[in-house]
Amino acid sequence: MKKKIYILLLFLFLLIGASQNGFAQRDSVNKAVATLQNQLLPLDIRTKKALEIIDNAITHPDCAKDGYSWYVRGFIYKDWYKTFESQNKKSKTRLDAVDYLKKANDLLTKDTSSAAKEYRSATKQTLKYLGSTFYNDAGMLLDTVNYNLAILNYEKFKECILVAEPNYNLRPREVEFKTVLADQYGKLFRNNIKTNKKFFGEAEKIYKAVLPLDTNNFAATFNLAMLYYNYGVDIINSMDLDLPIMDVDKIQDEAKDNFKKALPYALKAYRLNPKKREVLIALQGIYFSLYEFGPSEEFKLKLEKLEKEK
Amino acid sequence: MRKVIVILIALFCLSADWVRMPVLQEPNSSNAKIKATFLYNFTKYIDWPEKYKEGNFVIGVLGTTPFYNDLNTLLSTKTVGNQKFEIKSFSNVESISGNCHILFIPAENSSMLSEVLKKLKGKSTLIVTEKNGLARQGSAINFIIENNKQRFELNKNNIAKYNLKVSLTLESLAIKVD
Repeated sequence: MKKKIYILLLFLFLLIGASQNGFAQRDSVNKAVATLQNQLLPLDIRTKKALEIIDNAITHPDCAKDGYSWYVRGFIYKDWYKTFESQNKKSKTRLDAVDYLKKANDLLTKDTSSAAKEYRSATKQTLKYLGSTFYNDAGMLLDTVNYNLAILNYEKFKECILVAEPNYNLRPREVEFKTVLADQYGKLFRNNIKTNKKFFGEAEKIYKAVLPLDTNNFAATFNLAMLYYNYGVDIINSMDLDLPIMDVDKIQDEAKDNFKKALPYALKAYRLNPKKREVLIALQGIYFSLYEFGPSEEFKLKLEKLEKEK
Repeated sequence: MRKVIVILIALFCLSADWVRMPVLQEPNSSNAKIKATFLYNFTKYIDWPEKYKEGNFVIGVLGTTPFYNDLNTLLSTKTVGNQKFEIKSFSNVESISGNCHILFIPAENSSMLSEVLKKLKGKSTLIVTEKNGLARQGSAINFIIENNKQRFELNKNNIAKYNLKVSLTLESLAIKVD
């Protein structure tokens, strides 16, 4: 079914393209479309041929200022990406497709014809599709090794979606992506708290930027609490026993400062999700680290009760 | 055309549930580390009589407590001069034997203090407790919590009773108790 509709779409474009107050080079563009939809050729062959034709056609000045031609080029590049490079998170073809589709959108915006309106709509849908691939790749890449590439993919997602849908509500995506990005910075920091201190600042900054966007976001709230709490524990655990006794107090002050920062966020996380095992463990630990054994015991009992209920 | 658009929208599927729970640190270990650091530092600022300066440097722990294992782990590579640390667990007061340089009485065994004082009379053992008021009841050093931090009280008279000498540095950092 999908295949039939796809052929139909290309055929429609061919017809509309041919019927437009065209120029000679529009034939080349339509030839590229016809090649792409030629079911007699294997997929890889027809995609390659279509790409060669459109790349050649677009060099002509008339095509270069024609929105439809750029749309076709973007569409074919998108197909190339989909056919040959869908696993390549750095695909140059995909990036090119976005550029061409954006150019198409710019040119088609200036064109008031009904055909231009159709192409523009199709251009936006293709950009939306590419945007979704960037977003999903950003999610897959979001770890302590590939986070920079994840950021690039996420930025590309935003670029695509905001052209396709200028009023798109980015807020949930911002919250989701940035929370996980902050988690990665937090992990990088904890890999070596002495050399990777900048990542602590990055994680803290991002969590604090996310929370105003979604004040009841459990993950950002709890993970910020854990960033502070784990840092407090790390400060103490990384302390050298040979540290002069007069400096032990400074270490305790620094750790305490982080435990105190963790507490309000952990309590907020508890209010948001009182049955979350990790939150109860965290609160037990934070209070214990602050030597407030009463509340620590209280959360320990709540945890035991929760475990029994399961 | 509209149908095609519908298909393209369907392809716009965003992956969800990226958020993962962070790893939690064990808090007990950090509190134990602070206490162990203090105990280790006490050995630098307290002077034991000559006859205590040979053999292993013994820290006794009265009763069963996880802190015994923490001390074993944290002090395994440390020394006091040429003396290696030896952490001993004493299940009760009667079992305390030999030269014990430091005896740590965990809070839950604080009631044994008076018995310990009798047992260690005439010895040079630094008695360390961790319950409010015990520095006034015979212990030399008593861990307390103040402003969410581990601190320690020091009773100079009780230290002197055991023929131990305390440095001014340690005194200056302690909360002095008479």
